[in-house]
Amino acid sequence: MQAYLIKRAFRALLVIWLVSTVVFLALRTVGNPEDMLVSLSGGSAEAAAKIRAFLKLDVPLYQQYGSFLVDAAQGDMGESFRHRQPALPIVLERLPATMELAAAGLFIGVLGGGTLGIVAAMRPNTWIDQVTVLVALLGQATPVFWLGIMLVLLFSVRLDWLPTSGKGGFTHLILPAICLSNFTMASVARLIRSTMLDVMSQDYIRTARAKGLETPVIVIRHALKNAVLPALTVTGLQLAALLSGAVVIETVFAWPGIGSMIFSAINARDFPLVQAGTIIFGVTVVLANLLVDVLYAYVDPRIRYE
Amino acid sequence: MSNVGATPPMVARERWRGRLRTGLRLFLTSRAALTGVPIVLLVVLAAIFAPYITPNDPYEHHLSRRVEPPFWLNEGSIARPLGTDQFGRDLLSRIFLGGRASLIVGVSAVLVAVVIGVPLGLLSGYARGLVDESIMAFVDVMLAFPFLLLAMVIVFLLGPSLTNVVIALGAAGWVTYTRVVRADVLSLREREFVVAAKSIGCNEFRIILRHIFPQVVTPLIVVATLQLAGFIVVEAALSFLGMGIQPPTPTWGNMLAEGREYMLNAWWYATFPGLAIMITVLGFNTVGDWLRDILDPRSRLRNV
Repeated sequence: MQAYLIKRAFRALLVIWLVSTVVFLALRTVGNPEDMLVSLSGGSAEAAAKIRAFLKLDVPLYQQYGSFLVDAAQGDMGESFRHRQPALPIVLERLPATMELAAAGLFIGVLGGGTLGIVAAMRPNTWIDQVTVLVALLGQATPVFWLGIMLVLLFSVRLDWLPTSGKGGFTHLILPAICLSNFTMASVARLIRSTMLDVMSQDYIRTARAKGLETPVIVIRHALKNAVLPALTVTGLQLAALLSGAVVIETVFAWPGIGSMIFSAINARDFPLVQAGTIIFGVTVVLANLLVDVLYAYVDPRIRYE
Repeated sequence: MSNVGATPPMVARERWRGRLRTGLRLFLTSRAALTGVPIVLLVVLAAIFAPYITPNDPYEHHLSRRVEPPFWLNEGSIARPLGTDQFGRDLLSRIFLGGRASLIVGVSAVLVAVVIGVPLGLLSGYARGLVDESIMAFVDVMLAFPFLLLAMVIVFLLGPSLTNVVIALGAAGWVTYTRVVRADVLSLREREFVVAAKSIGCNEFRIILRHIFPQVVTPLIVVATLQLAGFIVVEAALSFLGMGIQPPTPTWGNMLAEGREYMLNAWWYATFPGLAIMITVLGFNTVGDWLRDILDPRSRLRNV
């Protein structure tokens, strides 16, 4: 177990280093910082030179990379153009809001999807099952930003029950979290339904029935335990997809997380803030995946001996 | 018997007919196929013929008929069935044209992703060792970024345009193919037919291209169909955020973004482009699921 953990942790560190390197290189070689500089400085050569020095673009690339690594290791990711403040604290300040939204969305999605999936699998091929499958299919096809607009139109504009955007009390969290949960809910519902259908036809379920157990006991204690693991795996794999949804949902609902921050940084051409935000987003996903892997190793003993 | 390998023409025709019948049965007995295939056909045809079937000019401003409601409401007109936008442009015509943009971007981006991802997957799975580890480390890095964020940053670097959106989606989406192909190749390369090819002296390039590659094509068709659906959503998201194809060229995403501004007095404006996305994605998703069921009964790809 320990060997497995150490191996996974090293792998995560390696990926984090590569993530930073890829972002560093992409921002400096794929795009054209020169053009960006000119548009920012309004064309004056003097201002362009100043910005160039500010971004440390006036030395060869390998030197830039060297000082980038040294600085980043010390928690310094440059200074935001717009805020005139160190970029990393600005990003980290936004992290809890994104986490809160992601956690709420994940919770609603897994709970709702799981329930739907179980209910459908208990009554295969009835109308309940068919409606669930249809709802799940529609859910997977619904773009979250559109769902967000429609929910605001209904619950904020027409019914005036919930706030349209921003972050405040619990009521502010409801709409964005439901929006974010949509995709997870749909895929978990479909997955739990099909794995439950598989599991319910197994011999040990028949044994449990034969010895006279009540259906709820069979479902929860015998079937669900075995159906839940594949669903967990998929949910873990979808973490990055979930955060993808968070990026656009944060923008729609003016939720002050990292996603909406990167969006406005991109629009403001705030180079250092885009860099810091993208790296931290990547690091968050890597760490979350590491956590998921470690949890699996505890839940499923087969994994750690692989 | 002298000609063991040859098939008499009668038998060949029978076999072909049998296949056709099986295909037809697979189609007609599947609810997914019966809903998905017509939707996809309709969307594809509408996209191809969009410039000829739009009821009105999608770009023409009519200040006298701004934000008209759809035809079934008062003040609506059957000439502009889904209403108009803030410039009096016909929404239905713009939705047709937006679908064309979506499909062009989606299909091209899938091709870009396939062209990058498949060779890397073949190489990774066949070569193994350090080559494999390096490629997979890079795949892990790509997977660490939320897909939309990756696409956003690439468009930020290249500038918003149709071509750059295609590049961004392709450059962000190739990893899917690399992973699927690699996993298949890892097991295929140990099979007898590969060993046999090796033993008669085929070079490695030929083995990969002629013997292994044909075996991985089927799952790729499924993955590509599902990815196309995903790309259509991300393209719409990029346009919605103002980082895709720029107005006045209509896309479902930028129509949604503009419609959002008119949410209070013109609910239809943001509603219909979103419905168009949803129906299209539903179509490609169900076709993808159906193809997976008939092409790959073991459903190895259920979770991709």
